[in-house]
Amino acid sequence: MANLTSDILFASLNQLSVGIVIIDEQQKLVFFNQWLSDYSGKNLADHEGKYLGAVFTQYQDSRLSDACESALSLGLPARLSHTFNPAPLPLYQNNFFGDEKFLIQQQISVKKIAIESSSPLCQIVIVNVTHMVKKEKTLQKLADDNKIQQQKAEIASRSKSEFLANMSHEIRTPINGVLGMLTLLADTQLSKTQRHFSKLARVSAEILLHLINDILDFSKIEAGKLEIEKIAFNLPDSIIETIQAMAIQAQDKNIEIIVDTTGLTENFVMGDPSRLKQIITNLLSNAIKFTEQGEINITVTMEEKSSSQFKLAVVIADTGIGIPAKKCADLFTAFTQVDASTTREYGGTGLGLTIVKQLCQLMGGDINVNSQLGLGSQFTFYLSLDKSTLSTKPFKAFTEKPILLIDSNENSAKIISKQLQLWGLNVVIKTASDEVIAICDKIKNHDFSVIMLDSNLDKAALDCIAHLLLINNKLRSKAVPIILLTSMNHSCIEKNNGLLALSNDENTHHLAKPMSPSMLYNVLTNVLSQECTKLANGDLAIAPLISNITHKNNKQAKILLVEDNRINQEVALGLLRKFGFNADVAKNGVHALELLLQSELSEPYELVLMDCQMPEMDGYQATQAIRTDEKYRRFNQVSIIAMTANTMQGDQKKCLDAGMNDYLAKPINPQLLAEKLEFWLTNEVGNLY
Amino acid sequence: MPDKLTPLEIDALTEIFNIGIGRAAKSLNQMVSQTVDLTIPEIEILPNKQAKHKLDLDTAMEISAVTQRFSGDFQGQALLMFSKENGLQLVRLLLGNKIPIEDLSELEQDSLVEIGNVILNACFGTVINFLQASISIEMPEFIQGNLNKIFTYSSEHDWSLYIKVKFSLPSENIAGHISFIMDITSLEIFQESVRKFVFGITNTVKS
Repeated sequence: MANLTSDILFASLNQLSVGIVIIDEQQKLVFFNQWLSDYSGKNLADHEGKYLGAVFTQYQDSRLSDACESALSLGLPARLSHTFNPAPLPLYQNNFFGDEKFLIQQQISVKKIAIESSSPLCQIVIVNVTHMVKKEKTLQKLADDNKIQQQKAEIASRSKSEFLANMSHEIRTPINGVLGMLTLLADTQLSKTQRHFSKLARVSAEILLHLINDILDFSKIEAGKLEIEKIAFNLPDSIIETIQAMAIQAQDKNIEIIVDTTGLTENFVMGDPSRLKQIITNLLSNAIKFTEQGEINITVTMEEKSSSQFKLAVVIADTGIGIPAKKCADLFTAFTQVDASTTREYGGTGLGLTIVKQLCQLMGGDINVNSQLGLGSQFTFYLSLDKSTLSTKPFKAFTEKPILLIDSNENSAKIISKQLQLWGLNVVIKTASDEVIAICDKIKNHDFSVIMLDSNLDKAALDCIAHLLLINNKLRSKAVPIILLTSMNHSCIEKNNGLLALSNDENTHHLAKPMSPSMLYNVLTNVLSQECTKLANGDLAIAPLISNITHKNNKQAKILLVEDNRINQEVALGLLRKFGFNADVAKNGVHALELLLQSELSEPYELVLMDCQMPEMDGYQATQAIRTDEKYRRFNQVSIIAMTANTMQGDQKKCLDAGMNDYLAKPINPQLLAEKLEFWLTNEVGNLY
Repeated sequence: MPDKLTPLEIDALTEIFNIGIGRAAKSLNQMVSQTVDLTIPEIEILPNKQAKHKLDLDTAMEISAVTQRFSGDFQGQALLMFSKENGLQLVRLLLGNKIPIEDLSELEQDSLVEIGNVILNACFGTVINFLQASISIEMPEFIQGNLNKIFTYSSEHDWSLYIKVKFSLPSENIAGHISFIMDITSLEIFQESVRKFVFGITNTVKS
């Protein structure tokens, strides 16, 4: 320190790239350095000893002056930020003294210099922050721009979903017309060619509807608007029902669908059955679409994930065309199919698998694929399902003699036998590969409790076995019950005379493949309890449309149809006529209320089918009027079923909130309409009028 | 363990700090276009460990703080702390900025330092004026981090003069916390000064 002379200190202060000002107790200028001189244009020699406020007039009564005062009197240091004090002193860049545009932005520190030898001094340090201010302004502008862009994007995305909701409504209305009319057309006298054309038209319309549903689902997921339900449902039943609904397609191509649900430890779970159904339908329809021969194996297993959750794993393996390994990864990305030619040959939006993956993820799972070109594909998906407090009665174990199972497919036989063994039954398996003679030998010489016969065996073998079974039962004192395993549409029975005779025999029960464990169990219980009457529920053809609904008084129910669209009026009236009903038509809410008022006391309307969106007065308003307006008290309890093409989230709630009893989505599903009509016409609550 | 201050002494302390903080509010109002009202609803002297709990800030939470060290008659560290959100909100409200950036920019940090400096100076000023203390105070600094990083003290036996500050802006109320962390000797001297001051007033009133 001894060598640090005041000359050195002076030179050093003058070289600093910050401004230094030193004032005394009276705030008179003691020193400022070269930096300050450069930026202020003032010389120290001219101003030394002057009051700082006299040198820089801005200083008088400024915050800087206050800060210096506090520093001198109380020793309080102060920091003056640029933001609150942009330019406390008149300092300019590049010698542009006096030009406001070139004022430098300053950051100032004020601190007392406490030296025992002299009275207190105060030091002001000034940093030029102009560049930093500029930088931050740019940053702010970028951030602002970014925010504006974001808002724009949000608005665009909102209007996109609104557009989709509107489009869905607009498109569904005409499709309702097309599908309805085609259904009615099919019921008229048509030539073979016309029937074929109308069928093709209907299939196309259904595909179109399916596409629209896919696009809607996809956009709902994208917008994060898809809600996953949590309700209790029977897991094996809903899986099998879904598969059965698609089995006809596969059986038409002679592809066997084999379902193994023996790995399910629980029947009831909590989750979203309709989304599970959607996933399975999607994967299975792909499997069917891309498989020309062979079989589709579906294996369902579950394991306990935590005290409240199960992990469900479903494997769907086909023997189809397969997917090249490098394409597997892209499979779940929107709008990609394996290649463009696939789209041409097999159709589809390319959205199906994307939706499936997103649904799996929404339900706490995922999906992956394994495939070998030419050998088939294997899709495995997982989901989380909550445990349910509901449970079914456990299956009782059987104690009967062995069952003979003659199946055309080895895998199918294995799984049926696995299921039967779980219930304590021994099974002797014979498959298509066994000699017919050996099978006949078994039938003749062994005592079985039940013989299960697959109707899908080759014709010669089947003929032979069927005859033998018929004769065998005639010879025996006690006939052996036979369960005939059929395809969903019984097509194979019609083709075969021997089988037809067996099929009509009183000892024969029918069970359609693929079967659910509960169906198999029910049929077996009935068969083994020696009820030899033919079971209605053993016959599992698809339930026919309800053709006529009997009303409680066997009297024509009076129905009011409120619908503004002429074509949709025709469709609904046509369907109602098919079920044996006539209806009056109102073209909007106002008209409906008029008709209701005009109705006679002795013959009130018992049911209103209400469109939601109509001119003048919509369905919601009309329903509210009926339910709450004193004028319509006479019929304020009439059953109202909404019919709407709005299928976005919350529409159903909106209908129920408005006071409607039930809800039908357009295009109207005839089966569903029949069910709803039956329910609301036979379940009138109390005496209403 | 030092004797606790009597309720009368706490009252006196609250009063003089409110006078000081009132001055700080006046300075703040001059700096910004908004009306800011500052009040001290609570003063307490307590061991650091308890003071830390008193802050009611989650240990995982990011905290913005302005700190000034002091030495002399008593020595330690003064801290003005905000939850990061509150600090950000205060600066943005005072500056009228609506930038959607989640962090304080360098210049904003500087603004918070100035605000903190004004408030802490008011407290120091109060101590120096009323309690006749001689202390030397360092420049303010900005620090950010979790509670354990910011609220540091040299030993378990350190004490805190804990002061809660309420910033009342026309649209919003924002809470800040001031802590003067001192060692036990400093605390004893501090308490002694408070007692002398209160004794002074009560005697003047009596005579």
